[in-house]
Amino acid sequence: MSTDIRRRHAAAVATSSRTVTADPRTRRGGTVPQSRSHARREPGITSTTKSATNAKAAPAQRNHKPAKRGRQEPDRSLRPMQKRVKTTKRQRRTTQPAGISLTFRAGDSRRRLVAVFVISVLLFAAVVARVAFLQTAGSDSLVAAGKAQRVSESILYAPRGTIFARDGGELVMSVPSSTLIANPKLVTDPAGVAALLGTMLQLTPEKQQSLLAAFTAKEKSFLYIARQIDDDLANSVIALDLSGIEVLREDKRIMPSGEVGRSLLGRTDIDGIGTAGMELLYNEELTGINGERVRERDAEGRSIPGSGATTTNAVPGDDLILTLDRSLQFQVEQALIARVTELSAKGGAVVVMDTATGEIYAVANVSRNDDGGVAVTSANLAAVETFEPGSVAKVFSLAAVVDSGMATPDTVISVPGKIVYDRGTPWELPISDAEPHGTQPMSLRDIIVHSSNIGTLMMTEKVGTQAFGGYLEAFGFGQKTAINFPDESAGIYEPASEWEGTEKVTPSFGYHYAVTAFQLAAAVNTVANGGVYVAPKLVTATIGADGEVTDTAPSQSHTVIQPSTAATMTDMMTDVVCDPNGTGNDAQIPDISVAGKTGTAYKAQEDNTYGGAGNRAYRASFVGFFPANAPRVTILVTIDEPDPTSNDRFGGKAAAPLFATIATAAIHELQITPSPGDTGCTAG
Amino acid sequence: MAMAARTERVTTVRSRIHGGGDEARVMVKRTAAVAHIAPRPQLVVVPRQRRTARLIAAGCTVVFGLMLGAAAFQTQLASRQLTMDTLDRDIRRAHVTYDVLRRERAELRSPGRLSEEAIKLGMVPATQTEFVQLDADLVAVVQRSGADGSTDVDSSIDEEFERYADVKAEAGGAP
Repeated sequence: MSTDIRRRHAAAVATSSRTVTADPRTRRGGTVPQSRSHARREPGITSTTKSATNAKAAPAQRNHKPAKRGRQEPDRSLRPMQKRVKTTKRQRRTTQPAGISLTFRAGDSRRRLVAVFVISVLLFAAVVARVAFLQTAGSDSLVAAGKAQRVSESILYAPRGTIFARDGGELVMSVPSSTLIANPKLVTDPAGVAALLGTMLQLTPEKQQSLLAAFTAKEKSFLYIARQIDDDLANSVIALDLSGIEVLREDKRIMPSGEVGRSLLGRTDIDGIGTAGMELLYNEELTGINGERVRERDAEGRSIPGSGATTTNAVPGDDLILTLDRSLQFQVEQALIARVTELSAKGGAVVVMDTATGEIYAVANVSRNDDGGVAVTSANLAAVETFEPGSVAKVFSLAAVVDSGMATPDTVISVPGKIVYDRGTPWELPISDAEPHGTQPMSLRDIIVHSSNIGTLMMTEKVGTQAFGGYLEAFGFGQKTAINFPDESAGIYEPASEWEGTEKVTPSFGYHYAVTAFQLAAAVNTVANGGVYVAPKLVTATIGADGEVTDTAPSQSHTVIQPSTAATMTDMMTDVVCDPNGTGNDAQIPDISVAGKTGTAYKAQEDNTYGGAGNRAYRASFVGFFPANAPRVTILVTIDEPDPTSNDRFGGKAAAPLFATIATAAIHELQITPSPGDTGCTAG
Repeated sequence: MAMAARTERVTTVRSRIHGGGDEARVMVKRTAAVAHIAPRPQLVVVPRQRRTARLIAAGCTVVFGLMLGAAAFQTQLASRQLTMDTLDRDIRRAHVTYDVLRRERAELRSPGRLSEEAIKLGMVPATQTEFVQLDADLVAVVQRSGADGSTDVDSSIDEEFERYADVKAEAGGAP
């Protein structure tokens, strides 16, 4: 600054020097050095220069001028600077609140810088603290958010195992299908979309209404519209590009062979969990283990290179290879439906099993629907429904007689046509043979050929109640079969020790105990199998996830009667079919011998009686095996409630012909040929 | 002139002015002569060190090469990843196709469909069985002609299951 300017400044502020000295900032700020320079040459001017520059910027200080003036004297301006500083600081402390000290004035840049620095430091510290927090304690949520944004975790659904027939045909399998889903929050036109979907998918009004409600509420973000529908239909919906409507791939359980084996195979729910039949029985084996795929993806869904996708492969469920022959199963079902329809019956069941192994080749269950039609049932009646076997049970009674040595086929006894059992007791029961006759001599062979109730009763009494009961239990009655089918019945059977009155004799001709079709077939099969009971079997092998085929264990077996007894019974049962007076003539097959037994049982009524004349209901059955001299297949046919007014209501008429039909089909499908010397019922 | 400039050092000294009792301190610039000037060695122009330049160039080249390599590596990774994604999709598609074909095959072989087709062709279900006794000489002639006369259905079924099992072992758990 030039000397002229300094002088002008000095002249301009000389008159107000006293007011300026009170300003505490006269020795501060950027002008101080300059003023000091002046002061060195012209003492007293320094302060005046300050006061001039700060006069406008310090109105608050002007308020204190009287106080300052009171203490100010002309020489005060010449006091040492340090002293004046003390004075002004004290003055500020006594006259200004602490907050006012933050008031900034033009030219007070140092304090401003300090303030800015402090604020910056504080802000920076806050940022650092925030960063530190986010990097440590608060990092989990951010890591999770980032992961969720780029990491895609998808479930790899394990396919449910296939159920094969023994011939390699698929009975039940899973195939990919389309499922339409919706995100209601993204549906822009709830009413229009709901109406459109209802029309295209032919939804019920209730379903359509529920969709509309969900679309309008927008509370959920996921909703099934239609599951496991046809791909073309799903694609046509997706082609409309409706907002919030998408399609998912989902496995669907199907039966590519139609209804074949339906009652045995059972079903799954829509999520693929077995709920009935084999699907339920082997649900654990059929169900696989889902896998998982974790990968990092970009905005377009592509995998981020080098991000390291992790894939845990799904383990598919085991496949089952059933013992069923698909073609035979189909033919058996069709034949049974036709026969039940023909007999105006209520229903029926057929079991075809391998004599030696117990493998079930076919099991059919049909019943009449409410609309009068006859169709394959969803329930496996052969396992869950029980019935009194009737005359078929004479096989077991007479086998017990022969096996215990009480009689031979040629043992003759005198058999009345009608008796009253336990006359005069509460157990009094009139019993008669189906074929009216007087008292006549009958051999054991005659008894079974003519199916004499009284003859069987008289023969079985020789065995004794307890021993006879033991035979029945050994034949498998009163206990579930090894199949252990869901809801399988063990039958109705009381131990012989609990039998009273007529209960001691009626079991000999097939009453007072009830059996399932599986039990009855397996019991008769014991005779065919040389006296060895072999448990029925439905699964022959499994195919594991690694492709390994594992055969199932052979069926459990145990000896019930001696082989010679079995042979004797087979011989007598062959006569049942071949003897012109036998009850099972209609079961004959050309050129192959058949052994079997007919059965016609009264069905118990709701009033716990067997009804009276004109009010009877029947269960007509035939159980046989062939070739009789080297049995390979055992077949049970039972018809539920054939027309009671028809002559075909008996086992020999209702069931035996169907046996022959099914046996013929089995011969074709299983390639059965007669053993040498077997000419069937025709004398060689 | 240059020498003169070197002999003087522009220094900023802090002096205290004591005149008039004022203790104010001021900062002034003073030019002071250097007290002692040591004899300077004869300076010569040193040839420029090219080694450093070469090192820098080599370093840059290495860095560039590494960056280029990294870029190429990343490109390869991306390419491979794309290929893997494509293969995954192809596998899934093939799996679906396999299942669909299995379904169609099973439906085509279903007894119900075969029965319908047979009926359309005028065939009827067999209701009787007749066994024919073949002449032993005739059987021998047939066997000599090359036909083994085998009717072993079970072996073909076993082979079918084995083929299925092989496929399952390879692709059963494919993503």
